[in-house]
Amino acid sequence: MDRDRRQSNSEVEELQELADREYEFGFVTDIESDSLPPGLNEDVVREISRRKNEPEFLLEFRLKAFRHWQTMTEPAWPMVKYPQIDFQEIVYYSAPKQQENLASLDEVDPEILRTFEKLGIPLEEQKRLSGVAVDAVFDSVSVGTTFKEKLGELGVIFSSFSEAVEEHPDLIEKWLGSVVPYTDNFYAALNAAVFSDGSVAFIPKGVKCPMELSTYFRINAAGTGQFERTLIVAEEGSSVSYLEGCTAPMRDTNQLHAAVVELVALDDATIKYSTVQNWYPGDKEGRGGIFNFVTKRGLCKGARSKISWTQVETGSAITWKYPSCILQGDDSIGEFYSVAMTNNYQQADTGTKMLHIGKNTRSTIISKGISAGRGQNTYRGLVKMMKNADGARNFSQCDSMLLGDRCGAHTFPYIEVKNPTAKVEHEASTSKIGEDQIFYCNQRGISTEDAVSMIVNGFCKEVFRELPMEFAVEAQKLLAVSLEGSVG
Amino acid sequence: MLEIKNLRASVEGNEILKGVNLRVREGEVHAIMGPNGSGKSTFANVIAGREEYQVTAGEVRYRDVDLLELSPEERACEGIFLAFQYPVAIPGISNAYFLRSSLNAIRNYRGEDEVDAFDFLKLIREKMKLIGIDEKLLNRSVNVGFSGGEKKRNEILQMAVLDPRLAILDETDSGLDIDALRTVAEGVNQIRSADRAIIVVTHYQRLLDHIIPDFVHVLFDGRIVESGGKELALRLEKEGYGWLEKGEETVSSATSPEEPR
Amino acid sequence: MSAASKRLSTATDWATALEEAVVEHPGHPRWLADIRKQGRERIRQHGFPSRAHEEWKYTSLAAIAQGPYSSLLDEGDQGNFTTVKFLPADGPVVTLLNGVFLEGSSDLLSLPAGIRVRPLSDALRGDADRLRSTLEAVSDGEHPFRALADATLGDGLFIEVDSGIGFEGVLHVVNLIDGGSAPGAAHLRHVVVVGKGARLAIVEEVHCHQDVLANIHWDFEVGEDAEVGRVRTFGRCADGNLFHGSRVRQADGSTFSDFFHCAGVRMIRNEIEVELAGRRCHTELRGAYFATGSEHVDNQTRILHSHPDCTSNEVYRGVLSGRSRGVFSGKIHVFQDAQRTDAKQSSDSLLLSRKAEADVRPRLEIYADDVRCTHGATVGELDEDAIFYLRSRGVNEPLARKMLVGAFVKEVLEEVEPEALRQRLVDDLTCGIEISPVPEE
Repeated sequence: MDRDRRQSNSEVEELQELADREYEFGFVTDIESDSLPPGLNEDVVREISRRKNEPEFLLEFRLKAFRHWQTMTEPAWPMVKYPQIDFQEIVYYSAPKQQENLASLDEVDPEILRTFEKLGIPLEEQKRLSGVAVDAVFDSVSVGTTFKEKLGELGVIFSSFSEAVEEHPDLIEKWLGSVVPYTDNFYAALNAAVFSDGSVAFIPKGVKCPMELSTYFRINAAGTGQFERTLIVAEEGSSVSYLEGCTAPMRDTNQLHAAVVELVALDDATIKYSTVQNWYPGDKEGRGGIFNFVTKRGLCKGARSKISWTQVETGSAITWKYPSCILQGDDSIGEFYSVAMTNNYQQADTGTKMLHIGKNTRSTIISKGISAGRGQNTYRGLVKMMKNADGARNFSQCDSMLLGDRCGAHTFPYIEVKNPTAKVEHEASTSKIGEDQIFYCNQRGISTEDAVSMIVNGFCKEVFRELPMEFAVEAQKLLAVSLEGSVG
Repeated sequence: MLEIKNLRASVEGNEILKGVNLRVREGEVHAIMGPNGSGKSTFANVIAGREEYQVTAGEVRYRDVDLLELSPEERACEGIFLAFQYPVAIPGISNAYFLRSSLNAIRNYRGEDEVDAFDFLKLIREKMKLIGIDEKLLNRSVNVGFSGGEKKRNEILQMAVLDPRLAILDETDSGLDIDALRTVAEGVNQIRSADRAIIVVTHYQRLLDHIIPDFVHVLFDGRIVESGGKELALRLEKEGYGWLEKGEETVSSATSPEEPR
Repeated sequence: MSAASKRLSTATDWATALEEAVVEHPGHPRWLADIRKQGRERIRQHGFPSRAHEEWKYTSLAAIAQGPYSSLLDEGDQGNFTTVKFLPADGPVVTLLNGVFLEGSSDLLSLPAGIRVRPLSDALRGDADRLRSTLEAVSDGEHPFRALADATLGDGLFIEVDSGIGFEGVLHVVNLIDGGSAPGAAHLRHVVVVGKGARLAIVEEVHCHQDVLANIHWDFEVGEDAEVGRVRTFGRCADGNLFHGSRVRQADGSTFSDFFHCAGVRMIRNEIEVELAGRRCHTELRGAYFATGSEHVDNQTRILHSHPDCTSNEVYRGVLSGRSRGVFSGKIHVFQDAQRTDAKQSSDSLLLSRKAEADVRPRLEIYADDVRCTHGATVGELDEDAIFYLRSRGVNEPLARKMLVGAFVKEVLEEVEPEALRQRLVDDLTCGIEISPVPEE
């Protein structure tokens, strides 16, 4: 134990040195003013664009978005309560390397370290996640490069947003804002004006992406999470599976997160987008924690295309997100599988929108909400069958589980049908863990805590099985950790 | 192994057990019989530690520890197994996963290594074959959509895998056809051994045709009013429980069990 | 979204018109004038909500807000209702024309002692104080129809049932709304107070003639262990705009059941709010509705479980053809103390034409952990396989469709009492509405 720490300490010092050196050489020109002062106005937007050397169209996009954002007010309809956000207090541009780094894991909140241990996160990964400066050894560059080469051979583009703007401006111009226009909502407009970075994936015609694309290989974009933007385009007949997030709790000093994700699937293309969100939820008294206000939307543009969202949301003080599908192509398919867990004072208002435009489009919604402590969990969803959606089908199932009598579970599905041949079915239920179930497990030697976590996992099974294998295992562990202390 | 002295227990303020005395030694099979409402299931649940049942007086010693001090899972880990009268359904948890978690919890408690998935599968397949359970049940959620017979067989399977020191079967025969009854009985007979005790709680004698008890006790109105060998069970079969009421009257001048005193 | 855009700004004339039209009666208590004044002020201040208002997302009030309904209807002509096929009644009947009690068409002699039915305006002259708290309660200050009802308060019924009175018959309430000479509105308020252990069954039928706005409100106070049932049916109101609102408060051990039926109404907003304000209560809300042409049926139900050990069951089924639109928005709120609540809700809609639309919005808000709450919703068309099956057995297509539609809504009617009424509703379910698909253009 001691030896380990000594080792890692010296290791870190060395790395710090390396990192400093790199910093010295890499950012000579910008050192003094690498982040902008807090506040937002048109000059800030222009400055962000200038520093990122963006082409004219992107600046225009940002400015239009900013002007539109100024006319908007924050949405008041979600079932969440939080103090007023002062948008002039936020720093909208901060270069990734400028992040405050901790010297070693000793400085990390022991509570978080304990969680790492439970999740079985490798040491190097722990450091990266908690913001210890190890970038240089954690050989992300070479790892990243290897995969990039392999993907490059297939014509797959997978890079940070900034890189993609530089290397493939035409693609960005074509697709940016095509699914989530900057006018869409308050946070989408804000994101469009100030987004810092993010990732872009482009899968060419007929290519089945041979590996799961994940943020793991996307170290470059780390620390730019606040106003992230993701764009994934799958051309005709291609397929891709994208993993976002991480099961470990992320250290982050930004309180407001407003990301935008846009997916486009052309004829016969498939996009599978999996998220595990575990941002800091605040402490047991509900102090602190991330506000996660995200706009995620997929466009099934082509015939027989398919977009599948799977999310496991256990973090953030407030979660506000509705990964949605616009089913435009005939016979296209939209799916939404969600587990949202709220404990202590967490609030989640999440769900999906399935917009059926094309004929014989199909959608499935499986939502599992778990409320514990004083957590409030809301499913909000819309299934809309448009006039021409002949033969469209939707099946929705929203189940809630309550652990304790101070929490709340709410279900607000909206169903709008304008086509008689379309068929919509919605089911919802609310339940608790039965004392008889716990006793049965106890009698078989299983502790109450394990029994609860087992039963909750069973409750979420239909969603977990949609996750890629290793993610599913981690998600189960994560849920167990999030459940801690929720049962007396 | 198990020594019960003057055990009294109540549910929501109603006293159900009114002073039970019982001693069970290793290797013995005891049958506890009695009419509906006599307290048989309460007895089984109290031994397993169900919290809705409050023990108001008495003592239960199990292998030299005070059993009443242990939590339900500690009792399970100490080797007490209750085959439930109404096995509980747990959606989403496969039978195999549940049983492996249970087995490993108990092995951990005993300081033994956990069984990996491969060895576990081998073990459970063997036991399933022995008890005559369809392997398909392994991947189904615990007791979800099981028939009455499947549930009871599943309890016997769990018992066979968990290898208890003291097994209590709570009305395991109720609602079973003759084939299932035989399977259950065979399962129990297979685990009969010199270091294991079994308590069979039942309303009817017919299970005791297949599991021959060493001792039979009659529980009536919260007390054991009669103890004897297996011939006692036959007498109950022939004469029903009616004679007990009269007998009771002479012993404790009790009236009908429904009437409060 | 600014607050202003959630309102239609046409209400000031209404308040002014009502101020002139409503005459204060010298025998009425002072507080009645205050309620009316507050009602006028609310309508002046809040007006009518636009569709940007969440509660009015699927129903536009623009036509009503601009329509000629700010004036009150005159006394009306009963002769305009001679062709109406009334429901069978063999007990007490009370008939109101434009809110005014018609002695000649009412029969209250067969009411048993302990049940009193009288015009609200009479009650307001007598023992008015016992009505005061009910009438003064404002639950939703911005609600346009409630504000209008308050501004015009005076017409309607006061129905009282003394404790322990078990009335086995049915009280028949007929509301006739006649816009014969000039269009306008009638605003009615019925107050029902049922004592401990009492039993009351009401059948209400509403018929409109010509272009009118009928604004009808019911308040029910259901005493301990009391049992109250109501059947509402809305006859042909081809030019009628209806608002029909009910507020129900149930005490310990009581049961309230409501059956809503409508067919052939131009526009109806049906709102019912039930608070299970005692332990061991049961609420049963059922509805079957039909709409065709450009008809619009909007159902808003709210069940508030504020006490433990209560149950509620809600089943609504709609059949929509033509260019009609059906809305169901059902809220179940389970408060923190309402442990062991068992609440069920289901809403099913049949779409029989390409231009019809169904909007469904269940809302569960649950703050107690030991509860069972389920809701289900389906929207779809008639099962083509079933139609084919019937046709292959020799049933012609229109009849096959009619049979299947009948089967779809029949289930909702099962518990309607009395038997004769149920049979009549089953027979006359669709009021002759064409349920074959409308030919495509």
